[in-house]
Amino acid sequence: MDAHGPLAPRGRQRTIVWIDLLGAVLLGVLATTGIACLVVPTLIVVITSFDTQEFIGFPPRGFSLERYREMFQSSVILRAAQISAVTSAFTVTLGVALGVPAAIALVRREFRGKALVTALLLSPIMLPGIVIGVAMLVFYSALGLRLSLPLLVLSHVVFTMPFIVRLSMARMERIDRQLEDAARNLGAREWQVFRHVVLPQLRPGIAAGAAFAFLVSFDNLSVSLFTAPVRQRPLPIELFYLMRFDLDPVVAAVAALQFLIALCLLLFVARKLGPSGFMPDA
Amino acid sequence: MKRDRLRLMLPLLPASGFLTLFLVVPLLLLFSFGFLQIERGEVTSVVTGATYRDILGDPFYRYLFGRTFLIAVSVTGLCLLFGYPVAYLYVSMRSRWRVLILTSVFAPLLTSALARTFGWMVILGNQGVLNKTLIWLGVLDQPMQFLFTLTGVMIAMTQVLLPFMVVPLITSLQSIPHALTEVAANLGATHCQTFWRVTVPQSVPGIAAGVSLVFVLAFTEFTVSVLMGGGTFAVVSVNMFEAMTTLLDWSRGAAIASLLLMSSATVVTLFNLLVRRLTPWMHTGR
Repeated sequence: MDAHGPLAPRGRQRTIVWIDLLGAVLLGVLATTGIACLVVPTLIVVITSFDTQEFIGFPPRGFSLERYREMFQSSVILRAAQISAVTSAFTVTLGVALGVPAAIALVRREFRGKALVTALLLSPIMLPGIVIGVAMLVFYSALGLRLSLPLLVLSHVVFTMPFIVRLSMARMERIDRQLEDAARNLGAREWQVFRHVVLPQLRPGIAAGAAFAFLVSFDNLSVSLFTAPVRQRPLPIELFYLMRFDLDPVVAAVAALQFLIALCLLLFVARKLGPSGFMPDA
Repeated sequence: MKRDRLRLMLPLLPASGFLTLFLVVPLLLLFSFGFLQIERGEVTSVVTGATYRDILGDPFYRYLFGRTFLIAVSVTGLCLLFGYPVAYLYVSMRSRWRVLILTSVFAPLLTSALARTFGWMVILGNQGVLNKTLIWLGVLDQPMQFLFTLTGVMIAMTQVLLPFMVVPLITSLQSIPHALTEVAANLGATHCQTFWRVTVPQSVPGIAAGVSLVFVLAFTEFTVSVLMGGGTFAVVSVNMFEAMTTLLDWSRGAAIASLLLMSSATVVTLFNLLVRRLTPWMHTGR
C-alpha cells in the first residue's frame, strides 16, 4: 500500500505540535524509568557480590572475591547447586522426550480435539506455581509416596514442558513441509524423514526450549517449596532460607554467578537461533 | 482407519498422558482435598464443606482476597504504564537499539527471582540506595521504611513482572501494518492522535495478553511478597504457605489454593470477555 498524494494540508505535519512533544517526552521518561527498573537490581546484585563490607550495603567500599571464595567453600551451597543441576538436567531430558514429539504432531497433523490437547499441553504456563506445588504435594501424599528427587523431577516437568512444546512448535511452523514430502516421494521411511529432514531443522527450536526449561527449572522456588525432599534442598530453597532470616552476603555471589551462566546459555541459544528466534510468537 | 487414527495420536499420547496424570488429577484432588477433614494426618470425615464454609464466611479471608486483588490490579496497572512505553520504544527504534532494549527486558528473566528480590532489598533498605539518594536530594530528612511495607512489595513485584507485559506488547505492536499509521499521518493526524486512535486500539490483543498474564502472576506471587513483606505479609499466597508449612493444616491450604486458582481464572475470563465486548474492531471480518 502506497499512500502518495497529500490528502491533508502539508503544513500541519511540518509544524511541531506541542502535544506531540509532550507525549514524546512523557513516553521517553516512562520508557527510560521502565528500562532502568529492569536492569538496576541485577546490576546492584553483581556489584555487591564484589564488595568488601561485612554487611550488605551500597555503595560498595572496595573490591574483593571474598564472597565467591566463601561460596565455593560452603558445602551447603555447593550441594544445593548440585541437587538443582541434576534435577534440572533430568527435567529437561524428560521434557524433551515427551514434548518434542507432541509439538511435531500438533503442527503437522489435523484431528478433532486438537485445540483441547494444545490447551492442555500449554496450560501450565498460565497456572500459578504455588498452586501446582500444593496440588503435587497433595497428589504424592494421597498415593502414599515420600518426597524424593525423582518426584521433584516429575513436578518440574509439569511446568517446564510447555516451554519446550511451545518453542518447538514455533520452529516447526517455519519448516517447509514440501521437503518432507519430497523425501517421502524419494522413498524415505517415516523415521528417516524425521532423522534427516525434520530433526536438523528443528534442532534450534529444541535447544531454545531446553535452555529455557533448564533456566526455569533451576530457578524454581514455588513448586520446589512443596515437592522437594526435606534433606535434599535445591539451590533456590537454600537461598530462600538464607535470605529469609538474615541477609547473608554470600547470596549476592551465588546470584551473580547464576546470572552469568544464564546469560551465556541464552547468548549461545541466540547465536544458534538468530535474533528473530528470540521473540515468542503470540 | 482406526489404526491410522492411533498412529496419528501416538506422538501426543505420552505428553498428554503425563499432564493428565501429573496435573489434571492433582488439581482435581486439590479441589476435593478441601472437602476432607483431616486430624493428625488421619482423614476423619470424608465430605465436609466446613473448610470452604469457614474460609468463605471469614471476614479476614474476604479482606485477604480483596487486598490481594487490589495489589495485583495496581501492579498490573504499573506494568502497563511502564511496559507500554518500553515496547513502543522498542518497535520505533533501529535494530542496534532494539538489541539493547531486548537485552534489558530479558535480563531480569535471567536473574533468578530471588536474586532480584535481593537487589531490591539492597536498594530499598533503610541504608539503601533509594533512601540515600532521597536524603542527598533533600526530599527526605530521615530514611523512609520501604522494606516490609506494601510500597516496597509493589515496586519489586512490578519489576519482576514487567518482562511478561513487555514481550506480548512488542509482538502485538510489531504486527501493526505500517500503512495504517502512515495513512493516519497523511490524513493530518498528529502523532498523539495516531497513537491513541490507531496504535493503541490495534495493540489490544497484546494488552489483553500482557494484562491477563501479569494479573495472574501478581495475584499469586509468592517470592517477593514473603521476602520483601515478611512472613506475615497479608496476601493469599503467603497465608496459604503458612497454612501448609507452619499450621500443617492441609485441607485449609488446599482449599485456599483452590480458591486462589478459581478466583484468578474467573477474573481473567471476565476480563477477556469485557475486552472482546469493548473492542469489536479486533474481531470483525475474521
